[in-house]
Amino acid sequence: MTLIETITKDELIEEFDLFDDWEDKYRFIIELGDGLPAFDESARIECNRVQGCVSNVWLLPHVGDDELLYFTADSDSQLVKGLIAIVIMLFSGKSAELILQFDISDLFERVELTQHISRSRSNGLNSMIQRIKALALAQLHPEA
Amino acid sequence: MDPHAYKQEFPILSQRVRGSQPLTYLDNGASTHRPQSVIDAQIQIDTECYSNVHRGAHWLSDVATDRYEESRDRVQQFIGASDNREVVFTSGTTASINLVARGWGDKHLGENDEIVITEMEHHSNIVPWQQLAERTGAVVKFVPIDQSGHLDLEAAEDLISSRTKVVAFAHASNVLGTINPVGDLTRLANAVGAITVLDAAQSAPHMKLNVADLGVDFVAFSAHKMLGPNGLGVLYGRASLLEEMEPVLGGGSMIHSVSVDGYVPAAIPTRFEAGTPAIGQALAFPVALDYLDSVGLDAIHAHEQQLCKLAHRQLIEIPGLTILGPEPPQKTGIVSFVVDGIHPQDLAFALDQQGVAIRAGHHCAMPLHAKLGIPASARCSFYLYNTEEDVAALTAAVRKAVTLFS
Repeated sequence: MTLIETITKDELIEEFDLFDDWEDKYRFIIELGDGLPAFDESARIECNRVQGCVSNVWLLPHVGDDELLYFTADSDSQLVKGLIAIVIMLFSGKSAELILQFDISDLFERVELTQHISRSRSNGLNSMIQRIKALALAQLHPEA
Repeated sequence: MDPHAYKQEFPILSQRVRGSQPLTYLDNGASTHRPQSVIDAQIQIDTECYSNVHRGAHWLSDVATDRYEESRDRVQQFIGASDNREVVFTSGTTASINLVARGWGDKHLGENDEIVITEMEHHSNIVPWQQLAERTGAVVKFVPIDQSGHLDLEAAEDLISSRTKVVAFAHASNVLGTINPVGDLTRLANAVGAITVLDAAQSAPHMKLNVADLGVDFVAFSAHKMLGPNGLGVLYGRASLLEEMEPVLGGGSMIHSVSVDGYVPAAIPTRFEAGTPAIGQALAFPVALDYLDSVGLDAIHAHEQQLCKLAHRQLIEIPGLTILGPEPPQKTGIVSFVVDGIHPQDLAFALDQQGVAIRAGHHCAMPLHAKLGIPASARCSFYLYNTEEDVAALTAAVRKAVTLFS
């Protein structure tokens, strides 16, 4: 089990609270990204690409037999990949209702990473969050 | 010249960022900052003489109109144009190029006519021509670049033919910094009767520009890249060509008369300035030009060459780092680079944490990056207020970033 598969949201916040410089923080984020399961290369196709202006994110969603939403994802940026790991930790294996209720910006603000989700045009992270929310909404209201 | 003294005159640069670190601003290719004199001018304009122009039956409007036209005269003098009617105020380089593409292009281009541009263009000197091609059935052709980041002039000679109606190119590349041979391309264009459009966004701020010497038909640049206010640009156009151009935007100010049967456009350049222009910006721009002249464009260019050489020397020592494009002095003060295995955005984020502002991405030049076989690059770009200490801060920050991501 890698770090990202075992850590909880509160532990994540505690961990971030320990860092007193940006390098340790960035190292930790890179480590979270390294722990993401390998992305299925055959899924690295255009329709799974969440386009950012600078870096790319690939997102592969699926609905489990348990009706919960599962996500795997990847990025060509190491930092974005680490942040993706946090997003996946929070959203993967959750119900559509929970995904729609959860405000991820609170957590990013709490750990002082808001610059990475507000730069919607420069990286794909914000677009990825929007796509996850859209998928959750579509599952709840398939007729819409 | 003493860049430290100049830096003191730019209040924004004395800020501390990301904690309490000094700001090392190396994103001048995107936008430059304004000295106190320009800031003071903007305040003076807003407090004493702002009003709408070319409309007034009142004192303030007369003052604003006089100064607006004086700004035009100042720009005319700055670029060596022979006639102040050849200076059109726009919102920026992008608007200037679009104005030529629509105003001149729509009237003169047809099926299978050709527009020749280059592989190193900014999107604002690509997309307007692609749109023109879509509207008219014309074809856009790209002059390739060689291994060293220079234009392949032999290929240009082959591409520019009797079918060519427009030759549009950057004076200096916004990614590679390459300074292009304006004379050679203009000669090729003139020989076939094509018009020349020069994107001077990355050259007007950094080297002395004289439109008479350059011999081109149109020149586009932006005030915000040369110490001036943002939201203002210039299109220089030969009077004879502007005269035959259609106004692209219809509205107030651009007409001679309007009746229920139609309209008669105003004379140039008013014809191209529909609506309320960027008045405050235009009024303050001469103060930026005065500043540039007081430092001297030749001195600015020489200073940037020094910094560029120093940056090349220091950065190239970093393992895995490759600088894109030619060596100084064949370029402006732009240094774009990639590091093996590290995404340029990660580099930029790590530099940002250290107070070093650069840009990462495709820099609105996707065809160039495709040619180079990379999705993105990191770019630092110098200006007159940058110092050797800034280069040292850049190098140290890149080294730290490379260690972190390797």
